[in-house]
Amino acid sequence: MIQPLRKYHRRILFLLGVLLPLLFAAGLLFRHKWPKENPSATLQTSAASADTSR
Amino acid sequence: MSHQYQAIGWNRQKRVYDLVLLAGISTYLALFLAPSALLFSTATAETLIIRASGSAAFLLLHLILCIGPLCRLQPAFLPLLYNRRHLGVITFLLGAVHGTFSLIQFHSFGDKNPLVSLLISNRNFASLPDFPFQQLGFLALIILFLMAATSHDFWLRNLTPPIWKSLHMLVYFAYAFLVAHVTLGLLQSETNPVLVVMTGSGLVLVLGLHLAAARHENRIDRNPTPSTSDGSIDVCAVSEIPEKCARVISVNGERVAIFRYDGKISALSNICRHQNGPLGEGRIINGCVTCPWHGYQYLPESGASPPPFTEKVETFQTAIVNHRVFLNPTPHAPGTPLRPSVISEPEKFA
Repeated sequence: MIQPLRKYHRRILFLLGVLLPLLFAAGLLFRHKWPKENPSATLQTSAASADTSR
Repeated sequence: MSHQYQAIGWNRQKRVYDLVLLAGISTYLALFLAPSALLFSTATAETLIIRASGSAAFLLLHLILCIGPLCRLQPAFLPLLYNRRHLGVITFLLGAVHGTFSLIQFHSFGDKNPLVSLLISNRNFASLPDFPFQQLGFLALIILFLMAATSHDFWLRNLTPPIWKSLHMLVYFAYAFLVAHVTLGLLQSETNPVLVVMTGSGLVLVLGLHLAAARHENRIDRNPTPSTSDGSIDVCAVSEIPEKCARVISVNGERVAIFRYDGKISALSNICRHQNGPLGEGRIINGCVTCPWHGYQYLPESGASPPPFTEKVETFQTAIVNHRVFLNPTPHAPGTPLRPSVISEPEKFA
C-alpha cells in the first residue's frame, strides 16, 4: 500500500534535488547587475559643478 | 486517537506544542520587527510586515520539511512530528498575511483588481532576473491553503490515507515555488550575501536530510531476508528483538513489524491505518502496539484496535524454531487474530 507513495516521494525529491540547486545558482548568476557607485565620477561631477559656479 | 470527529482533539501534548510554537513565532516577529523599524526608518509598516511574515513562513516551512527525515534518522525528534499539522496551518496563515500585505502594497493602487494585477502585471517569463516571482509565491500559497484546509482527520478518513498523503506531498512543490520566489524576487533586489547564504543553507539542509533519510530507509528495504524451503522467512534470533519493541523487515516491498512482548512473538503490517506511520518504530504500551506518530493502538495478536476504535492492520503468522523467529510472508486480512509464538524459557534468556 505504501510502496507506490514512497516511489512517488523518491521521484519528487530526486527532481527537486536536481532542479532547485540549478535554479538557485542560475538565479544568482543572472541576477541584476546594479551600477556601483563610482567615487571618481562623483569627484569629477563635483569639480565640474564647482568650475561652472565660478 | 479518537473514535469520533472533533474540531481538534486537544490534549496536554498538543497544548504544550502549540504554546511553544506561538511563543516562538511571536518572539521571532518581535525580534524582526523592532530592529527593522529602527534600522529602516523609511520603510512602511506594510513593508516590515511583508518581510517579517514572509521570512517566518519560509523558515517554518524549512522546519516542517526537516521534521520527517529527522524522525527517520533519530527518534528523539518524534515529539515534533506529533502536531506537525498545526505547524502547517500556521505556515499558511503567515503566508496569507505576507500575500495580503503584498497585494495591498504593490497591486491595490491601480485601476485593476489586485488579484488580476498580480497575475498580469509582469509577464517576463523569459527573463530570470525579471521573472514574475510574485506569481510563484501565489502558487505556493494556493498549495499551502489546500493542505491547511484538508489537514483535519475528517479529510484524512474520507480521502483515505494514500490520497491524503499524495495531496500533502504537494508541500515539496510549494517549497520549490518558494525557493524560486525568493531567488528570483528578494535575492534579485537585495545584495546582502547573508540572505544568499541563508537561502542556500536552507536548501542544502532540506535536500541533505532527505538524502540521508532515504539512505537509512534503503538499508532496511535492501536487507536480505533469507527464506527457507517452505517459503517462510528467517527473521532473526529471538534475543535480537528487544522486549515490547519490534524488528522490521521488508517482505515483497512492504514492511512487517515483528513484536516481542510478555514471552510471545506476533507480527503485523508496519503501516498504521491513520497516517501510514511506522508501527515497528513504536512500542507496546498497555498491551497494545502504539504508533510513534500519533499514538494509534493495535492489539498485537489480531492487529485490531481495542474497542471502541475500528482500525485494523494485516497480521502475519510467526514461528520459533531453534531460538530463531520465522515469518510466513502471506498476510492475513486486517484484524485477523493469530496465535502468537510462545518463547520457551531457555529462549527468553538466549
